[in-house]
Amino acid sequence: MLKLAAQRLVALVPLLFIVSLLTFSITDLLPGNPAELIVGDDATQEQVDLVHERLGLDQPWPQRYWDWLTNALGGDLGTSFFNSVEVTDAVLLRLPVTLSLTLAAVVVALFIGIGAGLIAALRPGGWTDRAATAGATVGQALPNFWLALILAVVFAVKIRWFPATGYTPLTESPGAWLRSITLPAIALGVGAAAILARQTRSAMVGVLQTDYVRAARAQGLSARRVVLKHALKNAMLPVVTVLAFQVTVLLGGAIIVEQVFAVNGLGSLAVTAVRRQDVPLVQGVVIISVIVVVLVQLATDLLYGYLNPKARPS
Amino acid sequence: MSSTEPLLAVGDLFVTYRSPRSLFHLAAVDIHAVNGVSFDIVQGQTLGLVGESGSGKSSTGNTILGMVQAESGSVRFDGIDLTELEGKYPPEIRRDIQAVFQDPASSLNPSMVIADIVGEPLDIHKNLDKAARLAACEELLELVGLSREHLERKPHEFSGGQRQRIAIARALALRPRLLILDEPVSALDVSTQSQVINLLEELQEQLGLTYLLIAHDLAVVHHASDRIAVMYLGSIVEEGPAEELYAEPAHPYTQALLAAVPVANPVRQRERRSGGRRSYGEIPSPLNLPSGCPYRTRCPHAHDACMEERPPMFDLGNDRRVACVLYAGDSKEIIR
Amino acid sequence: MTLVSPDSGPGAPPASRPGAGAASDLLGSRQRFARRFFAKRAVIPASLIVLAVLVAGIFAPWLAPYDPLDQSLLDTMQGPSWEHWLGTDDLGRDVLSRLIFGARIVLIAVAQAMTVAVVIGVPIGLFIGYMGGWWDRIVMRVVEAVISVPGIMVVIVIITVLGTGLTKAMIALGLLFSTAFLRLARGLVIAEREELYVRAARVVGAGTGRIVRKQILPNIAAPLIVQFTLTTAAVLLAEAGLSFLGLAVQPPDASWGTMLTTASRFINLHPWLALPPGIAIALVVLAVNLLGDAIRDSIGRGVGETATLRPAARDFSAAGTGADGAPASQRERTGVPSDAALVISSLDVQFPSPRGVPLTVVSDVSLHVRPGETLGLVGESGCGKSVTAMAVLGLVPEPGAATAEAILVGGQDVAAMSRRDLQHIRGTQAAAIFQDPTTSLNPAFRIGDQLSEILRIKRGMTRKASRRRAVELLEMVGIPDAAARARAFPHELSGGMAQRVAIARALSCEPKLLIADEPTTALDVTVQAEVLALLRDLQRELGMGMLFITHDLAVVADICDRAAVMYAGEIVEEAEVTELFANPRHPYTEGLLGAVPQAAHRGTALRAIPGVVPQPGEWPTGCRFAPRCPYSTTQCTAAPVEIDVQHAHQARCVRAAELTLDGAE
Repeated sequence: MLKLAAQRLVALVPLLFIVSLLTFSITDLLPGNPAELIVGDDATQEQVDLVHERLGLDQPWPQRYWDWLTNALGGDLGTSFFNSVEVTDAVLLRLPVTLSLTLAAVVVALFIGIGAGLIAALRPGGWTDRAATAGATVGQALPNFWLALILAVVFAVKIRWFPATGYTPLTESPGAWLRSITLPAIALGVGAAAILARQTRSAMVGVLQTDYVRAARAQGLSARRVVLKHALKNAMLPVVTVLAFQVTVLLGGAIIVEQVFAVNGLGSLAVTAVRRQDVPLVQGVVIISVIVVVLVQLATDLLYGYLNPKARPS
Repeated sequence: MSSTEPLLAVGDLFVTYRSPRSLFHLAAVDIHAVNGVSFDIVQGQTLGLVGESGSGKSSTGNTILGMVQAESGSVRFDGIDLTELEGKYPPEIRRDIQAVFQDPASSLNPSMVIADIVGEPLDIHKNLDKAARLAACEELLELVGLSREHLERKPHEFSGGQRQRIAIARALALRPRLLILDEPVSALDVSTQSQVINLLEELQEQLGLTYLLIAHDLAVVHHASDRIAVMYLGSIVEEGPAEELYAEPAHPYTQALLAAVPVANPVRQRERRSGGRRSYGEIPSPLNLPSGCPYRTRCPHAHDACMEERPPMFDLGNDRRVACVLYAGDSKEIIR
Repeated sequence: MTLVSPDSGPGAPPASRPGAGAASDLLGSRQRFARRFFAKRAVIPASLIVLAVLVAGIFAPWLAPYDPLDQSLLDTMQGPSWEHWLGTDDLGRDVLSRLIFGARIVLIAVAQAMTVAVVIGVPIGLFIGYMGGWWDRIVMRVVEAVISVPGIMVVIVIITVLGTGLTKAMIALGLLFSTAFLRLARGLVIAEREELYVRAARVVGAGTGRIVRKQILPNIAAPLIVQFTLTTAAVLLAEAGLSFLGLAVQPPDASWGTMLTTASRFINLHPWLALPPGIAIALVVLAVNLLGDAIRDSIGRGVGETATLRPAARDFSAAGTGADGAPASQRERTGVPSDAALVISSLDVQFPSPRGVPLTVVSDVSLHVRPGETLGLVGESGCGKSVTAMAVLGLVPEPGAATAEAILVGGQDVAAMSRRDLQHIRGTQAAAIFQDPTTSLNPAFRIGDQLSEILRIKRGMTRKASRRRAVELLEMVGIPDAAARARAFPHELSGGMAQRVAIARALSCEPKLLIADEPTTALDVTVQAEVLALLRDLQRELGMGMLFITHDLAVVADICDRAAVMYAGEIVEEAEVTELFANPRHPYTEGLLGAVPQAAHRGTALRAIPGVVPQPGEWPTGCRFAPRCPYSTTQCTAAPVEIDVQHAHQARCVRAAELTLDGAE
């Protein structure tokens, strides 16, 4: 397992490199001079040039990328164009908010998704199957920010079970944290739950038709044991792959749902950065979220290796 | 060797597959699929290439078809060395060498109708008008015992045996001289299998075809071949006329193979078995071939000399060759 | 789900599956039929919704009752009324009109994003898939990098460069979703490239262009169309999300996303505003997804799950009683010993068929196996031999149903048993080994654990004792270095070793009956010889009866004491093997024996049986073999033929007494 972890970890380095290169080179295509944006319309050419030089924009592209990369490796992702805030600080301040929202949504998705998928798979064609499949189909179609609005109206405005807006850090008050995170997590997690449910169902139906399940049945193991032990471990393989991808999707989705609940996470940071064309901040948000994604991938790779002996290095 | 010029002459053929290099396996892993294989096929005859899984028999066939590149050695067809063409066969050679594969369910494109499957070679190589193409397709189907009413159907509407007939019709469309038959009947039921074998034999006689019959089933190979070459882990261990080789196998591996195949006669089978139980051992991994004789790890006669070098081919007379040092004494000459 | 997942497509490309037996093919088509039918019910409303959006979008200026931008500060935030069916927003604009004009945005957005996605994704995917090598590696590294970034971030980065606005945002989305098409097209081409028919086309001389166009594209078009539909739905959601964030459509233009932005600002004052655009988005996405699913399900060659139904394990629903008028086959059988390991009396197996009439795949099968005896059940594919064997364990594949007068395993009637008792019988009284040993062991667990699990559960052993016993069992079946090998996973074993492990598992509770379903068919001959020898030794040691299912007469000659020949769902002949091979009494048996290649020498044609095995449902009424039989007369086709149970050598042939048939050589 250690070997697998090391292997995967090393394999993820080139990925991070490519992402950083892509992000850097695309944002570099930005038309116009960021310096002009910063100093404003009334500024003189000298002022523009000064800012231009201060930002290092007069350097050739490879040089700037190299500088950025070496700084980034030291944890310094540069400074915002607009308010001389360290990008690393800004992003790390917001990250826990978005992460806890994403994580809570994953929990929602796992519980609902795998549960519904399993129930559906046990009696393919039965009413539980049809209900779960219908639910998943609808769940997949609901825009999460709309669901967020509706949940907010019903559970926060009409019946005041949860706060309508805002976020309480976990460290401040676990109870308030949970209450502040519940509605956003459900709004965010339902879509992923629908996808996981479909995936679990189809994987389980497939696994239940395999020879080894037939062999286990022929050996007189109970249906319950065959399903929950022999079939489940194998059926989770494609689910884990989908889950890894869904975490990425949820991280992105969090950006929108945060807006609805006025939660100050990466979302508002990113949206503001885009609107102002604040390149270092955009780069920072992207790189940090990719690092999160990569760590999630690492975790799911290890989980996959645990579930599938063939994926382990020999 | 036979006095007639062989249509196909494979000489000292090597085929190696390389596993892709990765970050963690910097040294590419080589699988030596074919290790110095030589054989000839005379025009109008059938050579049966027999062996267990991993013996390299299909790789040999694929090399002749240009699907796989040889590492070294030659494949001379009608005097031309095909290995030099690097898989890019000119149309006249494509026309001459055709193939029938194991699984007719997957060798026919499920989305095409029979007329297009059988007619595809004609479309590529001959510029026939509509009527001539139709007539040619009908003739081909008749040749393999199907009829024109099948032309507009799709493969899934046919049974396994019928699909294999369609595959044969496609292979015959260009009037080839050599057919590579890669396990042509092993996916079929017994009763259909014999229909297809009979068809192949009739066609050979009628059209003067030359066959390379690749199969794992010794009974099929024995029945349908003039000569048999036995492959083991990439090498031919024995070659000779079908009857003689079957009646008196020389190589310990051929002997084991023949002993292992049951015969469909309980009385005889029980007699054969009464000779005592034998152990055949595990086939070594092709990633890690034994030194010297490839069969030595399973051979009851193996001794130290077998570890040292690959045994050469010894000529046993009667057109028979065997790669085993047991025959070093009484052989007349050493080939290779 | 929401914003931007380029992966909502139909997963991995389908693996081509070797043809399953006739019964499972029937099941497959029935399942597909049911699914298609179910899908069709949703297809009509879904198409109507999509059509409505098309009409609304195209004819918006004529359909909308008001100008979507007309403000009326006197009528702000009203509920539904006759003047404004869906009410008005914060600036007094008509919600219905804005909704209708929003449909136009939907159409533009989908058209723009999908064009970019398909035009970029599909050709590149086809190209790198077919070429492989460095092209493939470089492009895929970039694609992997892109999809590891949350989709919305990718779009945000692109929008940072391009600027906000619908078209720019849709180009960004299109670029993002092109990765989905690229990966799908690539994966499909790679799968197709390995197909035998592509190789066959290369052999006949087809060039790359022709192969891609004629052989590959038609087979991958369907999954691409499904992906197109599902991506359309994703684009819809993404456009709404981006507009909601203010990155795509800019106010005051009406789009469903911007309408929700407005709604969110006034959600406390006037929650109604959130409903029309939200429901519109959800309905359209739902409709498009349903259409995508329906397309996927109606495609014969499965994208996603193919319905080749293998056993889903069904317990007996009802045991046949034969109460009203004893069935023809209820009769005294000769030579059935009272201590038989297995007795099957009059087994029928039926599957529901699309036409409503149940399809019989096994009819009136009766046989028995004595302790220590091996009965061969021989026949070609689709004759019902495996289904018969599975019926013994109550594991006829869903939705098939077995009925029998009795199925006695060690004297107990499994046909009349409760689920629970049946489960108890499995493994302890009767166990089974299957054709493909590498797939009949669970790939996720160590082989030792798979053995000890059975011992713990079925024999109540302790963890420690069961481990020790598992190693002993592995030694018993001739696994070298058993203690170490017990820690191996199935994929680390050769086929022969895996089959030995499967045998060890089956025999772990010392059953009285072992069902061996083509246990050597997937093995090489030398391995087969060893496995057969092992089975013979173990049988001698443990004294179990064996029901040995095979298509190979030579294997029957080797291991069986008696054999029953099956054809088209019924037993046509049964005898001691020496007798059966020497003096067959049924023309089908004669045909099979004559068809064995070693029976005829080079130059003489094999004795082939003309025609093909009839599928269930197409069986003739009289003798089922008559149409292929060289000896058939009019009396053969008149009425069903009974098996002649008077003889020890039974045959189901009206002319059995008069014919002299050829035996094995």
